[in-house]
Amino acid sequence: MLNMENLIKANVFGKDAGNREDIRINKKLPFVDKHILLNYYYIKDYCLDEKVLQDIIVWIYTCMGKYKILTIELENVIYDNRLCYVILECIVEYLAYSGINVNIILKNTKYTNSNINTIIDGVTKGRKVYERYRKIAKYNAKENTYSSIIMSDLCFLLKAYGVGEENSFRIADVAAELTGNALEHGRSDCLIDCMYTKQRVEYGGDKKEIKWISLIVMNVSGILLGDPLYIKYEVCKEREKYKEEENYPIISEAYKYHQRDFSEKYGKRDFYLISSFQDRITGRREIAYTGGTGLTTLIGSAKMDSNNSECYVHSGNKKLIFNRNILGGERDGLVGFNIRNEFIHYIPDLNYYVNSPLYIPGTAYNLNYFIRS
Amino acid sequence: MKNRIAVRLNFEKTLSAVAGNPNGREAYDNQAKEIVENGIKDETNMFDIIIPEQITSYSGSFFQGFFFNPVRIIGVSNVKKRFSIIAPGIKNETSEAIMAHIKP
Repeated sequence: MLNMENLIKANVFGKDAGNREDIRINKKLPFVDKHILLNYYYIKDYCLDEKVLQDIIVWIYTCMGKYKILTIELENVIYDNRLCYVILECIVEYLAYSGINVNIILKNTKYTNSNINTIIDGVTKGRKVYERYRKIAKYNAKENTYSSIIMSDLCFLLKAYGVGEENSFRIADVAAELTGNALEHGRSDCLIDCMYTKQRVEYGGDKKEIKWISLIVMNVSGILLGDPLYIKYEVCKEREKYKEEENYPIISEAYKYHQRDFSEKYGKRDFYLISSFQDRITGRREIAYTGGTGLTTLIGSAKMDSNNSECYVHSGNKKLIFNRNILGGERDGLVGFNIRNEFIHYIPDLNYYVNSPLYIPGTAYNLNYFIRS
Repeated sequence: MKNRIAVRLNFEKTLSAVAGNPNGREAYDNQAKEIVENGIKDETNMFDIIIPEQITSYSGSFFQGFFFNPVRIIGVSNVKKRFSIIAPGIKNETSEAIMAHIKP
């Protein structure tokens, strides 16, 4: 995937990868058991979360140029966040293209969440327990069919897996819209990774089949989620022209209220990230006659189908968690991500708009859908 | 008397869905622009956008991209009055439901 070096450097040197500061290697992690021996990284009894992933990235960087083979051993490690595993895979893929082979040894590792457990090697007693669709949509300014390809593929695969026509369509629609956004606004490759599995679980006294669809759409373009809107209204030369858009008064009105609560945790760039989710607000650099649906589709979908506590978007070092407490009901297409469901007058709930130790120089969506038969 | 003008779109045979704003614009520019913009100024002309049967699902942004130019020329309400979408592969969706994705 293009630009993976952005992600590595951003996590090693801080977000301004160009300005080489101190390597963030001395960060202490609360590991039960961790050993690093030159080109060998071992963790036991822990989960692969953002802190660990950031630590692994720093370790990989220190090994680059010294070793051609690296080994990561994860024993009894839980993956409650599939995005971290997918990012690790992308890094390993990037290193392979750079001539460094990484062996990942998994011992008794599980994907897990409150609804379902899946053995990560994908095979239990000789039976494959999950299916996976993984595609990298290559950015090409003249070729725009990737969204349609992703939607066609996922609709077909999920329907064939028994997810149902409507659910298949909704999930494929979200994947297609987010891919389109990533390619258009990020101008960079975009990874679409969909894992789907089913399991019979105890549910209300009966054993019922539950299907878990985990969808990840990620780019590491160097352009953060709120950047197109921020640049459109605050930076570019034609910003005054764009402020004539019919929907701009929503942004300016909200900005007046939000700026009163600006702090270290929530500033101007965060405001534009939240604004990107509002209906008919688009970062596209033109007068919006018909536009701005991608992220609205996502919100609609997150409200309807998913287990919201496990759905989030991660951009830079910020995570916006699509928890159902803050997705109660939009007003006129506006979603505030706060208990009051009010965008104009209130900033998002900072319990669900949080900092992460992992820096993603782009945008990654981690969405989970659970469908009960 | 109103004239109906048919605009038949073609897509790669492997596709069963259409999605993405830029993709919609591209389809308009390459396959519909000439026909539509030759006739759009005559208010008696109505347009039928015919989507091939292979297309069984769509994302709203495709049609937002497709109708970007017509909306710029005649406005949303006129586009909704004068354009119909005929999509035999997309079940349970009327032309109006598809056009509802075009927002003022």
